[in-house]
Amino acid sequence: MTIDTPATIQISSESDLWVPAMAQDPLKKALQNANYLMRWHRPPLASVAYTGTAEDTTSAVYVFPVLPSIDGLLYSAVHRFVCSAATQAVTIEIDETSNYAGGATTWNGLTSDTATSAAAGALSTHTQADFVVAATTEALRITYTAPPVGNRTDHHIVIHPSPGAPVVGIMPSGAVPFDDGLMADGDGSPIHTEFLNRCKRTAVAVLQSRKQNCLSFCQEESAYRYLWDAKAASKHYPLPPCRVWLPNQGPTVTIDVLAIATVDGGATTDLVRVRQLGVPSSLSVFLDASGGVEAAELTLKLKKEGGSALMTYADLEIAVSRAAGQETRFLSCMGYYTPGVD
Amino acid sequence: MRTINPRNYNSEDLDARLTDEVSPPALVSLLADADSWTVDAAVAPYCGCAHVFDGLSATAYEARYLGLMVAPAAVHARAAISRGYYTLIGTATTHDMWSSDGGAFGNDIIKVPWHMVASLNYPASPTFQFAQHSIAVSGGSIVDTPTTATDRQIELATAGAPYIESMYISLAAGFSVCITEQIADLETL
Repeated sequence: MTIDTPATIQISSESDLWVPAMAQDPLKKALQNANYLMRWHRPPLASVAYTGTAEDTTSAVYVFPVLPSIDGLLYSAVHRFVCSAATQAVTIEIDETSNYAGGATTWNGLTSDTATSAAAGALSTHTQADFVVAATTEALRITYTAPPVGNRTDHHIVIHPSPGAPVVGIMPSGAVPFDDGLMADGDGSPIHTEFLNRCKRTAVAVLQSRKQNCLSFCQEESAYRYLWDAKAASKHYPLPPCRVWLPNQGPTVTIDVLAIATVDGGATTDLVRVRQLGVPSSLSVFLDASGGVEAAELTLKLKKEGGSALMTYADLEIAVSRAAGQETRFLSCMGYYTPGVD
Repeated sequence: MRTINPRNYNSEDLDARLTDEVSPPALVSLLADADSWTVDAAVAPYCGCAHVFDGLSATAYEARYLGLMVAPAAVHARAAISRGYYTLIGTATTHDMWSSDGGAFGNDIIKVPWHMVASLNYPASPTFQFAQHSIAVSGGSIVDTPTTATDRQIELATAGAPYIESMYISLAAGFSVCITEQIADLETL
């Protein structure tokens, strides 16, 4: 008895499905595809293009909220940065917390190692593989040290699930791996209705438990590139709008919006606003600049570019306000899409 | 030939068992449906994340590198580019964009026309945070062997497992990528 996990999705032909042989396939192949999903469904937990200090000669710290899988999966991170000098050592550390509280946060190390920069001015890519992000994690902290010579510009990080092959047992999400034991004795074995249902059950569990990062903005934790301190108070000043693509979905989708912001004093209520642009009567959500992770749900009315279902989209805008006489320090905002939530 | 079934999860009852959905349950369509749920999930494009970032106010950020996770069966993509006017780049005429699969040099570079110019009097400073912006979508033409750098669809690797596509965009304040074409016959994946 084995839990086989194919490295690529297996495709049964139309004829195999509609005129099936009295054999283990195509059901066995479909169930192995459920195992494939458990290992290879890898939507980004975070895909963040940093807003930091260009050509930085110091270390940089980025903090953003996340919604990891309930299954406590392994994740991997791929960093992109540029150094002005070749072969420079840049130490990269990823920490997590289950309770972000600014400077009072207790951080737990997930992974740390040293990247070596590529040629001067060229893109450096560095992967940190297979660290566990617990279901209780609410924020991640990414730290890049200064290169010994020259400067560093931080470009992007993508963090994605990278679980190993599934093992026996039901996952907290409800995903169930397939063990071929009951089919291993050859053709003609009984087919359980549970086998059929397991294909859908596992597919849905994997899809919904691995929420997809659909909106991201993050600037340095303390070296604020943009500080809401000089504009008129009690007005929300926006960052540039950006488009999220939600292929084939709709007509409405509700996403989770998470944000971290703080103030130097005064009121904190509703200082961060996220809304959809370009549709009549769109909804807005407001989040407090409490210093912790704030969350809200935003329902989007989706549109189609050129009538294409693949090009289904919503334009989103993040805006930040400040109280009179105060400044708002906006760190990050992340959006998460869960398939099937409308 | 087996084509992709674009499943809209917002129109599905995700809690219902397959064996509750058909009658009688021994229909062969049940087997096809079971197979379809796993395959559809595997090849469904991931959402195109809306990345908001400063790519305008510093020279070192005018060139932005990203790594985008791509689901299986993707062939081509287009990008939504958020942009704003900035004095330092007022003379630029295009956003340069590339994917590693399509090539990063010469004629392979995708040139998305830049329309926001100084003469239009967009507020110039501070550009990223408060200036006027627009969202443009890159070109829809499929030209995989271009003889000149032009505005065309992004080439992706068509694979049976997800992978990270290395991408580049210049002079943007936001960026997201949408899968616009998937493999025609899944049996060739």
